Amino acid sequence: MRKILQFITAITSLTVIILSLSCTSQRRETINIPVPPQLVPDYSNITIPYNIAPLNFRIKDKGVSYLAKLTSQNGLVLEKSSRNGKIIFPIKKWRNFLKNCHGGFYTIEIFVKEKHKNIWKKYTPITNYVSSCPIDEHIVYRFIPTIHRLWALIEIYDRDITTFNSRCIIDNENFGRDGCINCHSFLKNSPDTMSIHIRSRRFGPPMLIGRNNTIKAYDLRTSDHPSPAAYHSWHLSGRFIALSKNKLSPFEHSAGETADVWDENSDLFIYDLEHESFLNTPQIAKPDRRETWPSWSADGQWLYFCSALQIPFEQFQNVRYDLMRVRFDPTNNTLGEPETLLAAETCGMSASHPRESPDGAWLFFTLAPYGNFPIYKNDADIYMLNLKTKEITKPLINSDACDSWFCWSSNGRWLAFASKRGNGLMARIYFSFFDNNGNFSKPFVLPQENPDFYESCTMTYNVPELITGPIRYSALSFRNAICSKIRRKPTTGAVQKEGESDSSIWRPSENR
Amino acid sequence: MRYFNKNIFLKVIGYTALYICLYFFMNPSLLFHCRERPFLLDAHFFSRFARHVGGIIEYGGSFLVYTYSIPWFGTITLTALFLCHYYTTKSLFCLFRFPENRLAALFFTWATVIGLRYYFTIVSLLSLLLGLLVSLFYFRLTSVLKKSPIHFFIFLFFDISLAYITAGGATVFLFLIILHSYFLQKNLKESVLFAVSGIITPLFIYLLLPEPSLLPFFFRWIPMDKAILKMPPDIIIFYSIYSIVFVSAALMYNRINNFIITKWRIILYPSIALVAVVITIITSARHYTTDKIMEADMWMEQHQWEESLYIIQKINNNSELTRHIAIRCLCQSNRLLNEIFCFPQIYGADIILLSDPEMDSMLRIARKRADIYYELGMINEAERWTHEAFTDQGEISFILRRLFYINVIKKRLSAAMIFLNALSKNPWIKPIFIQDMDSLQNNFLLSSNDEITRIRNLLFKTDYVGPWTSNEILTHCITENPSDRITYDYLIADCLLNKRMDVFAKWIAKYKEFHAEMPHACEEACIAYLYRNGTLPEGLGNWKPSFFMLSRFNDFLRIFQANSKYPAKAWKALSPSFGNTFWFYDLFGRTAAGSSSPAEE
Repeated sequence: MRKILQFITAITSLTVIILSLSCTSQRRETINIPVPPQLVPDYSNITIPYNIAPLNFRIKDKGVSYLAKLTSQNGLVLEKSSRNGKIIFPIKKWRNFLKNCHGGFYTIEIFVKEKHKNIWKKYTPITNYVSSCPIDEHIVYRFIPTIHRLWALIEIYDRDITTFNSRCIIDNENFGRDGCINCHSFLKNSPDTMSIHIRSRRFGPPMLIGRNNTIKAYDLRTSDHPSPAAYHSWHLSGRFIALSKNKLSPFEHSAGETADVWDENSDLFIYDLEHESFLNTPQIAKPDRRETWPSWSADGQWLYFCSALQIPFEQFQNVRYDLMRVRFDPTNNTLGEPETLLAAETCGMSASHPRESPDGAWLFFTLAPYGNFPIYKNDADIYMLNLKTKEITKPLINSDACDSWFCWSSNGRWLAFASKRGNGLMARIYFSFFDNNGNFSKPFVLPQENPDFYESCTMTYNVPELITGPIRYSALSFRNAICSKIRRKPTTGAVQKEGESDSSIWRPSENR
Repeated sequence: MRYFNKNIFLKVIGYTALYICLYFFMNPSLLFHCRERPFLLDAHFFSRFARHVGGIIEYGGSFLVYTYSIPWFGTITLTALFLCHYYTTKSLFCLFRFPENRLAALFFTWATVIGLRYYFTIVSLLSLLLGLLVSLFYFRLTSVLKKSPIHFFIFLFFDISLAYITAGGATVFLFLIILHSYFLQKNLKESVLFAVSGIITPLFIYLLLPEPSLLPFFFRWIPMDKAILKMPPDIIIFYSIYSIVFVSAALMYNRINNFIITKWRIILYPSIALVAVVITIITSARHYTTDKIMEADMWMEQHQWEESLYIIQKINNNSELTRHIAIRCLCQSNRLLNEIFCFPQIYGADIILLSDPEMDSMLRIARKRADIYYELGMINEAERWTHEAFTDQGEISFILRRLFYINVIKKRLSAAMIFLNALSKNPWIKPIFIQDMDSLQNNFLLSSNDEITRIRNLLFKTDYVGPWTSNEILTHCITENPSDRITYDYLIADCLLNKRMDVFAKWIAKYKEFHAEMPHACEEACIAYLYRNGTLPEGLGNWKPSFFMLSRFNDFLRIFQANSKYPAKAWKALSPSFGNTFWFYDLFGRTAAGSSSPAEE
């Protein structure tokens, strides 16, 4: 019996060895193809963080067998084969491989075997660089339908970038399918302190603020400014939130891009969480101007925003926002006079979404032909302003499609942004490495376990925000905060009415 | 052996008869049109369901709904489900020692058939069925096991599982367990324990799965769930009957003499059958018009214009949806400007573009708006409303396919492929995907597709933005696309329906480009214009109204003037001969079709 077992073990081992050897390239007859392979998604010639999830891809060429061979600069090899062109790396092996490439590079060799032929085509190797700067491990984003006014199918996800795990933290089905969820914001990329805004017919427009392990719902409407909050940004002290109150009206074009948004009126405010009151800041809430897109500088001394003259809707194509900033004195909580960084008149474009880099050296913003909702503008691009030299440049990460909604990693080395470059309609999240000299690496898309995921994903990614860990709060705690009747209100001028009606939102019949 | 064969033979006959009855009564094609749900074989799509109580059964129901798209297959599904319902309820009645368990099971299965046909979806049926099946399984299992604490843990396991998988099915399960425990086993403590546990259990799930309130844990997907929360009388009666029968059976078992029941059977069975037939007839009659409207809508979506118009004429209904369907079918079959007033019309509503916000509550309004804008070549508006339909109804095949076509028209081929690939994830409609994929591979702009080519040629070159009226939009459409017959007919129809005679006069001369003769309704409108203004609209050249029409108009005037002081009398006098004319509509603000009573002026 023992001999029989030994015999079986030997045969099995031999079979395994033969099979594995048959897949190695040493036994493979190859012909060289002098072009690089086409990978979907395109993960060629990029710089990646060492802690990212496997960059699974599909080889576009037609064949019956496929092999991807990754070789680190130290000679470590990671191979993966498949029959359908999909190359999916095991997470552990991938992690070990990237550790080996830390601060260096690796090459990818692609082999494709055609039908009825015994020869493998070998494409020109690709080189990818592995940065020693890690990326923040989580990214939070909105996952929504592409063009819509009906508030349904809106979800906020927290995705672990080092793996493929993601968690839906708010789904508007959680509170009755009639609420919008928008514009989450985090304090210095921290998952512990965050804010997110809800607009619901049933539960009103609370702003949810997560701090000190609890979530509280705030109703920030006032009798002078009854609009709810929209965009918001945390001051580095964690005490102040700069927020805009907008009156946004979506509309459609009959030719060209379909959707557009008109900002009828907007003002900026600074909310003091300690005293639960608004600061007196008329400089950023002028009646003859629209102020929006607040964003604090890294040192908390400046508030960046965008501002435009009030003009009627008929002139919507002429509304262009200046890029502004105003000094903030945290000792006495006052603002100076706003100064213009980039006048719309000068550049002939409209600025939106300013964000300073964590090192305070650069200011990034979006420019579009007009308006302040760049996600619907095909020619919206990301620009960068050197805060020392005041030089403005357009980085090479832009594409022919809309590029906007960007955010920084906490170390200031990675930029995540939403881009429609893949298909022109649905935005995906792209990452790019930023060196100290203002240069970007080629952007690559957020990896998915199934490399074909984006080929059938009909939703769009929106408002990416990098954070250093998983969001501390559960979906249940968000839901409880939304559905509870408890609302914290500003100490003065709070609006007493509940609920909100938005006449621009159509609502379908309940009988489906 | 003979007896055994006869039994099987009778069963086969019975099942076949049931299949045939269901095929015609349930009308799977119509059910599919009314109740198509989004379904994709995709992990991310599934996770949307897994996050909610009752999501699993909803996913399963969404899968089964697609069997309706193949009518014979859908009927097999329905037959199987109803047979399962029958046998399960029969076993449960038997368990509750109800003497007429066959009759009771038949009765409730029949009620469920009616319910599924008119009131609730297959998901609710599955939830109910699963609740009943698990109850039966629980009773059988616990009858085999010795009485011990294990019964309670089995109950908890089933209750939690059902609560997550079906939501409302757990309520059915709990209800039956409590009844059985209290009335049949006479164990008050146990029934209280079950009741308390059954109510508390969902609370644990509530801690894990956020829902707007606790109600979904108990009522979601139970048949008539939306109605239950509003508690109208007929729903209370519906569920009371279930409860009363089970409770009565348990209470009265010891007092009923089988001999008496046998004697009453002669009266009981036919009476119940008669009641069932009467209720079926009444329910069907109540829903007849809605059914027919949806059938007309279904034919319209399949581009069977004549079939749709035939039904609309039969039902003579003047709802906004019906009128919209009529207008579109008439236009597509090139009958609009001749027969527009042969169908119900009412002044004052924008039933062509459906732009009035008050119409937001119309069934499937987003799809309707998307369709009409698509027909007019207003591709951006069509795109917007198709996306709204997507947000409202989800990834159903019609919407995905339309978004595919829209993106091909706009030459956003990568985006088009995304919608096409999404379509491929529904195994039931994969043939459509393959067909579209083949077309795309042969011609990546689909220029061999006539509809696509037509729409592409209609794309607007100039942008407009703003709150235009429907008439302004249609005028802009004809300005952009002066050679499109459909656009022209819609514009003229809008002018006639809204009595925009100024715009009518400006555009009527163009009729020659699209119609061999002046359409009837337009000729009537020209005569009315002549009567009011003393002259015909400009640009008509040598065209004059026919002698026949002029004399008809004179007759109309004569009858009207004879009855002008009494609108009801005028209506009665004019409607037989002139109820389908523009003059009648102009006078009364509605056609005779679709109106059963005289209208006030």
